[in-house]
Amino acid sequence: MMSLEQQKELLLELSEIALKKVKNLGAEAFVNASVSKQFATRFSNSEVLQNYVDFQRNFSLTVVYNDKQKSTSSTNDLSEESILNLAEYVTKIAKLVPPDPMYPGMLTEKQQYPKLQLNDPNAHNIQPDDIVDKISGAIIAGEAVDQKVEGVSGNFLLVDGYSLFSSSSDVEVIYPETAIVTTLNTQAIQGDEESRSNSDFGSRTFTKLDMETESQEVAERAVNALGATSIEPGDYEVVLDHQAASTIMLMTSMATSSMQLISRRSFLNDRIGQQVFDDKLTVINEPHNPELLSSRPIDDEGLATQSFPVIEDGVLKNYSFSRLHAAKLGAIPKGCGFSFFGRSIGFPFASVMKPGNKTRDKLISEVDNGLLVTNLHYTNFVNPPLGSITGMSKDGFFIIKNGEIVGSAKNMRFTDEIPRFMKDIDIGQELRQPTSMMGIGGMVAPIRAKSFKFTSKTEH
Amino acid sequence: MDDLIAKAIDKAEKGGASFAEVRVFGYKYETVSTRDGQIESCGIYNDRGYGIRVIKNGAWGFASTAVIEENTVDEIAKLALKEAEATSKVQKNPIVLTEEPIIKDKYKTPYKIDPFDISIEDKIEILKLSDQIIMEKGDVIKSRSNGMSFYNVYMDYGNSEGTRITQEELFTGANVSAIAIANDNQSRNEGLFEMRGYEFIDKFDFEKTSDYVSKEAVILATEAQAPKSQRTNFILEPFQLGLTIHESCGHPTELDRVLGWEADFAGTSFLTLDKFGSNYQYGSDKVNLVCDPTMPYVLGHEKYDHEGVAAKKFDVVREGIFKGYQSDRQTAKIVGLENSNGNARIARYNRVPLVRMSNLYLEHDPEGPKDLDALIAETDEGIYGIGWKSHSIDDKRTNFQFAVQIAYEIKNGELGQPLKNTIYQAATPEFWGGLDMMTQEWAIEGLGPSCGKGAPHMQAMWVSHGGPYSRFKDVNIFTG
Repeated sequence: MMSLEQQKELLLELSEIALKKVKNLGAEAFVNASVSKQFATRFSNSEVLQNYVDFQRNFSLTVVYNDKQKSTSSTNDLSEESILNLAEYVTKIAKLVPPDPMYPGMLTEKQQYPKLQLNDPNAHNIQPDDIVDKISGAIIAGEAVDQKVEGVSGNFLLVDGYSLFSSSSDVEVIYPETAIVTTLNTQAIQGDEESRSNSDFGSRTFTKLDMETESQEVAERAVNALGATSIEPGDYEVVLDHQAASTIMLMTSMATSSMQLISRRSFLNDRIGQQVFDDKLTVINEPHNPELLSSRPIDDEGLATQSFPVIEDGVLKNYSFSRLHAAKLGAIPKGCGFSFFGRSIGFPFASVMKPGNKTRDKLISEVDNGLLVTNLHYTNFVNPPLGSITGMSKDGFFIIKNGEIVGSAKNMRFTDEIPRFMKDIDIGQELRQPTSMMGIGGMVAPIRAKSFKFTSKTEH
Repeated sequence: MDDLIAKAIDKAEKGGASFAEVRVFGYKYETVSTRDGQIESCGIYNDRGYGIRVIKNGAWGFASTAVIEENTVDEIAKLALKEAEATSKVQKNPIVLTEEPIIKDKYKTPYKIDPFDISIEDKIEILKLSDQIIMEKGDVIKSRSNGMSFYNVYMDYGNSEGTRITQEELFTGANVSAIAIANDNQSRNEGLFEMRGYEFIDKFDFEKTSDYVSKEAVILATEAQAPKSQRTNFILEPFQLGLTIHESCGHPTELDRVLGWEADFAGTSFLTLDKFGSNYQYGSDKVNLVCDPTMPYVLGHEKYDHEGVAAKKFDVVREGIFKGYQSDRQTAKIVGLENSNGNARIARYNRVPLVRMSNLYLEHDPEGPKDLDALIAETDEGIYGIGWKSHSIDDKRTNFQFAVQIAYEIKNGELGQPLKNTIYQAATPEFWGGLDMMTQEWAIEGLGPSCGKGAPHMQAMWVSHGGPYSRFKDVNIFTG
């Protein structure tokens, strides 16, 4: 088996071969490719269910013909024959598809790609035993919190490798990346009653990933969530803790994507410069922040990534565009193109919320009669043009009275409109990075919303 | 692949594995799509490789590679064993699997036309015509999209018990979408999949589908009203019924969820083990929910699951009583079942199998109204809901809230006013307890590779669901 370094060299060699082949066929092209070693673990009820290792590779080739015809295909077969076949096939298809008059063609403007430290140099040496030891430590730490802790569950993923972008416009960027994401979900039991709590978090550096401390916090929250009482749906003041806040910000970011603008389904359509949110909300896309797991020097279309405000003092400042969407909508793309299966959309994949000056505890202390929401589950748009979303509370739902947490509540469903409940908010000062399944990063602080509508309840 | 599989199993066993299985797995995926009259995507995506899963010292280990060459087997097997050894240091309960028959077979899902043999030009031509039909509905249509996709999925499977299976699946999907903006901003779309070849494109009928999808988008944006909040009879067509089955019956009867193995991401289940075999009342006595991947042509069809277990038809709910879980070899053994129900599936070569839905549906009523018209004629008042718009359900799968794309009022046995932004919300047993009438007519619809499950690597699985046009009484309806 080839080492990661050898695979990196292979990617460079194959991209050169592919681009040369496409050139010979009379077209232009760019390559998005990656190789990585991935260690993954699934654990549940304080047992490791499955440890596995994978050598991930992908080679995606986009061919542009006559500047207006485009086709993309990919393979994970990194043999020279496979790449030559790919180049031939994609070029043939690019010549067949009808031209799109709005497609901006190959990117020719010179880009200044930042040099970012995005990897853990020691990640190459990590062994399965190291990962099992770390997870075992988290399980032991969680179980030690209280006898009511029944089991620690979760998952772990370490990705260590290289990403490449190269093009027939003489661009070649290859950079190492390490990302570690993990989830802890702890169950507490007392008699017939069960509660759970959860945390998603990550790091670029294996040794900095403190699963033990996090496990203790999650376990404490699970134990505190026992004894949940049923409360009635209605309009409540809430503190949305980091994970819940992250869901709301992800839904808000989706509405700034050029895909939503093109399809006319965003509640933020035609609202640039407007005070859509509370003036305490500022969100910046910061793709050069090394702490953000989604940071990167270059987007999927070859543009250098750049920092820009998404929301500033509650005013919508920028959408995120792919190059095609920008051309169609008369905008300038800012290096946030995100591609999948030949489609490119814009997305602020590295958003960071500007923290406020109150601690999370201070936010809670200012609530007379409300709820602390740890996590939101299965949140989806109900009516995208209104920004209406629905979802469930999960993993720790607490009652606040006179500024103090006085107990736990049974989970409820919320259905509300983002521009309504985000109009009167306060922001906490502690930034965290709850990791998401979508590979989209974000640093968020807790949010206190004056009014948040819960519409139905559950028995747990 | 037999040599590679045999070598891998031999290597694993010599390295101390008490069980080993090898999956050479891959897919070829072609997509052609347009948006607002221009090609949005057009290409082929190939992904293939193999994975070795072993049990050593009572623990699982798994390793995989995209390089399907015999000279990689030694290292991949060694890595799988190393993973198992690491796990076994903290393993409390050794892995035990159900005993299953040894199978040697080759199977290919039936199809008439290989979609990969059809030219791109022909495919684009169909999409252009579809786009033209949508565009003809006028300026109120603000965004249009359509597409077709084709998947060839193959698996060579072998295990140390002697099972060797080659299975190849071919499935096709098509979709049309229109967004209309007038009094309101509304969308309407249709997207279906079947385990068929290019002949499904004819069955989907882009011309007819594009016509009604765009007409209904216009109706939604111009004349549809929001429903008033009410509790009433609610009729679902097979696709939206299928989505409701998927979320409120499919996921909670996955045995790995029940055991807590998905708690960190997808959640758990209200159908806990104490309800199994206890005559738990899941729904009304008309509810017969059946898992049957042996049914040909539906998207969830397969002859074998990805642990080499023969697919089988089994009851999940019979006459309203909860009867059975979807399981794999490990989860079935844990709860004392003799055999796996054959629900282990993977989405890629480098993923471990999880308990997944295949083809789960509601049985029709052979004595019910003949078809939708007859069912509506039997309904004094209510609402008929069509198509998926939004869905959400809690982590134990009890409290759900779904929205349909378009609905119609029913008054005195006839369809009336079109309705937009129609939402139904219920608790699972309460909703299924309200099933009181179903048609004889039924259909199974493929949801595409869109069922997400599993962390840290989410696996998108292709599933099918459906059943008859079904009426549920006293459903909570509102708008939003």
